[in-house]
Amino acid sequence: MSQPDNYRLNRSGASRVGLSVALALLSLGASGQVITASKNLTLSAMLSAQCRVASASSGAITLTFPAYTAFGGAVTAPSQSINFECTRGLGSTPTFTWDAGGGTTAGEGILAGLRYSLTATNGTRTSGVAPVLGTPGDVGTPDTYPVNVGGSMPAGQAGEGASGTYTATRTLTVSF
Amino acid sequence: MKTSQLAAAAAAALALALAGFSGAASAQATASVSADVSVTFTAKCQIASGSSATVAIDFGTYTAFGANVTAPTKTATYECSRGMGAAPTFTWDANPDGATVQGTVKGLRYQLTASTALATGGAGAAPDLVAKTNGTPDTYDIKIDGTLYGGAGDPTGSATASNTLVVTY
Repeated sequence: MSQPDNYRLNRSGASRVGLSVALALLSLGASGQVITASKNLTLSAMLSAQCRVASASSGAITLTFPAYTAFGGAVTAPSQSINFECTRGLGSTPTFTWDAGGGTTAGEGILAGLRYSLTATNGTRTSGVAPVLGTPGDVGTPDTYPVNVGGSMPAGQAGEGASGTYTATRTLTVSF
Repeated sequence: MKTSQLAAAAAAALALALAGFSGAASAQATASVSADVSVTFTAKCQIASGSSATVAIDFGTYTAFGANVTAPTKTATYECSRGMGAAPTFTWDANPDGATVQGTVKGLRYQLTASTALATGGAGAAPDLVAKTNGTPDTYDIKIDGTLYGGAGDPTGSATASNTLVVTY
């Protein structure tokens, strides 16, 4: 049974359509490699570097001088250490000032009429660690500055007032 | 969607950059900590360093049956913690109750009397922290007067006696 002419024509047309589709896919394949685009972002932030008393060192330092009898020998309070933690890489060497007492911020003071001197000295800094990006939640660690605080009373002082225990509170400011 | 996110990021970057610019001259970092300082103090008096612990009361030469003799007043200096306040009291080894003691030397009766007063200019000074001085004590003069009463005495010769004065503040 012979096909009608129009059917043959249709078959021929279908073949042409199929060919055109194949060409289109071929064309798409050539241009369908991974498409990328880049844009540089400039990120900036203002960091206000800070130092603070490390949590393990929180609270006041207690400097207790040995008992002092008038006109006696010099006494030295056992040294106390306190840690400050700072933004990494501040770099500078800490300096110290005490609250003003008797007109000086050099750590001088009077207790029970006895002159004493407080000192603060730097220990060895422990460098902090930068954040490790592969470790979720890691934010790095601060630089740690240990500061040793001590006190002394010169010998031979008369003192003032009745016998007893005397206390005073001083403030040490550390500048980094 | 991507377009809007990029726009937001750019805006944030701009804001941070501006903030960074305004704070470029950052202040020095400081931190403060309190220090509690304490001492147990015992006030005290002592013989001043420039004063001898032994005072010599010299009645000189006495001839039997002569008049009473008064020895030159001797002074010892005590130094004390400032502001102790209490007036000192005296006791002698042979008279624990008062400032006067009697005894005999070469058979002659004598009497010693102690009195005290804050020395002239004896109020001490507090420490000077700027000058780094330790202050000075209050100083007291202890005056000791002696009287030798006339009498027959023992045979000729020299003799000494010793008494101890205790000063209590």
